[in-house]
Amino acid sequence: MGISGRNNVPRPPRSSSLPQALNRAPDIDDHGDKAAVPSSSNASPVSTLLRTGRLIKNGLRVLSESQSFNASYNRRREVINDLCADLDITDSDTDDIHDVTDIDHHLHSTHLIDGPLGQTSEPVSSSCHRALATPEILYEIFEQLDALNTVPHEFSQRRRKPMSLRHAQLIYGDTQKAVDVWEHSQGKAPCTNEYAPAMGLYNCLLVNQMWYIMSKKVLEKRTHFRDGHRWRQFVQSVVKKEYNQVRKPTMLILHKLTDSKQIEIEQMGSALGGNLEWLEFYTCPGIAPTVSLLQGSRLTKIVLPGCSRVTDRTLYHIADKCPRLEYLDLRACEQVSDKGLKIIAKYCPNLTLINVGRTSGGELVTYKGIKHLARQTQVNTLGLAGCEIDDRAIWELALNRGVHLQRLSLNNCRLLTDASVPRILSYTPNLSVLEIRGCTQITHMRPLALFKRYRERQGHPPLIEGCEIVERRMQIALNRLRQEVSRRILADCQEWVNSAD
Amino acid sequence: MSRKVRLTSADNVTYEVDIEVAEKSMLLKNMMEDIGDDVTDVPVPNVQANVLKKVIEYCEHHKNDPAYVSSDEGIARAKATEISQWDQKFLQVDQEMLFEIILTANYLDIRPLLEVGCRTVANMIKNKSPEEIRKTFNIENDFTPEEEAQIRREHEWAQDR
Repeated sequence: MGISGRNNVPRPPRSSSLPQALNRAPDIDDHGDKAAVPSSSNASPVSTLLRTGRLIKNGLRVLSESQSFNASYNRRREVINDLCADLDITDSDTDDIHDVTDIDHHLHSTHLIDGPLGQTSEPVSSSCHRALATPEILYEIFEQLDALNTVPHEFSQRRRKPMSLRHAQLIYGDTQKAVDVWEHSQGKAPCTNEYAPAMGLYNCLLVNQMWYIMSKKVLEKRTHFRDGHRWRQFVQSVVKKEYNQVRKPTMLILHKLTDSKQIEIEQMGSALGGNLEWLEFYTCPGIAPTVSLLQGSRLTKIVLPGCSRVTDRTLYHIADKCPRLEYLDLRACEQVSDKGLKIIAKYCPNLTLINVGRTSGGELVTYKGIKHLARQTQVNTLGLAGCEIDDRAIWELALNRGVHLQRLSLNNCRLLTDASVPRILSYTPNLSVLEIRGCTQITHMRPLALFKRYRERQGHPPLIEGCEIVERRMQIALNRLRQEVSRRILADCQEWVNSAD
Repeated sequence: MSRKVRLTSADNVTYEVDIEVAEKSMLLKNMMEDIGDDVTDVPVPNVQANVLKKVIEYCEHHKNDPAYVSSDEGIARAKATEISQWDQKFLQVDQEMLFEIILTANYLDIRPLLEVGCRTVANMIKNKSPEEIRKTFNIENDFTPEEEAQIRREHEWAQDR
């Protein structure tokens, strides 16, 4: 059976307005394990094939091909399953489609095609290339198209801004560089992709029926809004039930929707929750995730910086619904306390990153919360800026997470002293970022300087960042270290010269 | 000296290639592994010679690339949208050939080629109106005006995508 040549397939008979196949919202997900598709019509599989024969014909051919070689069979099978779900063919129907001649027979008997599958009577110059009528190819094209759309995200800097020109000089040494960086940092904050042109996935919805089905799938897979107007349009069309959803998203990002309301999240919960892997509300002070959004046990990444409504109660829900959670960003969620962290630690053992940095409410996060995270999770990156953690918390992390620790942000953790940070470094050989701005009780810098030199020599220079005071102490320690080394070399040389005599 | 295999196209043209080149295709790789070490002749019955030749050219060029890893969600994914200069030039072919390459990459399961091919088509789609898209690819509009209006109404929120 060849795939060469063009297919000359008559169009399926037209049904009323948008064909039912397009208007149905089968309960499908990415992984092919779908619930039974509700069958709203009594159509037999054959008549369903008849109605939508043109659409699925290519899909079936792909299926039969991959069956004959059995390679990447499962991936293709998923696409076919998805497609059949769209077309309201139940699982058992597709299971019947094992033998390609069966389908061939069905299609033949309904006069949908003239010849055996994949062979054509004659090429028709007025039709599009069959690649563009193959569901899985279309899906891949739309995926690539959607990849061109910018997902709203925070502008990330490698280093934080210096706090003053003198601070910049301490960090960068070189005066000109320091002046440049300082002046640059005084300018306007870099724009966070407020404007992002549309790439045309929306236009693909309107090309033809098959493009509509496949582009809608891609469109709904990732849901992200940076514009309050569009978000409200979406909420409205879902609430008024004017909108036909074909799949639940794996990603939901609301970016700086400062006037979005909790009621909207509650209304959208059932439409958007259930299949999410990544949930992000970035600086949306009016909203917090609801239970129905957190459902589905697939969430690995939850990002809620600046969502002041988020409380320990939200964390209870997360702990309850998200056993696979790895990434939890709660910056400036200033109501979150030790209680919430304890419950997260207990029920999210895969957690690798947590950020509870804040500028107020620091007294709510202490040694008690961190202890549980250190003992019960896989955490390797912690943001604890502004928290009232003491030396015990750092020791808990060093002793329990030791070699795994990669990044520690301890800015403005004012309770930390020389009893912890300078003394844990032998337990944390892989630490690559250590932020200790405002930790002014840390005065014993020599271990930090040694650690820095040691890691530099290994080819992994760590980023150790302090405020002006801490940075100056660091410089002094590094200079002393250099002098000591020079002195030792000099001493060695002298010894050698003398012994050679 | 690496082992050679002979790939035979649908129209009976045979190309001899290094086994690493053929193994860029997961389909052929799995097949050859199933059959065993001594395989030297591999039929590729669904692919015409002119297309097979192009696809082999791609595999030859990329034979030392690291094994394919599926790109992650989100930002990491967006970064992977650039097309290398060689690939761009390689895919400067007529539409017919481009789609044949895509179909073959899909059939032979050569993910990187499938992706770069579809990315090329995506670049042809972007910034075009539905009508322009239809014209570019010779697609027939099978919507009634009512259906079209309904889709527009339902998806107003998605105009930025």
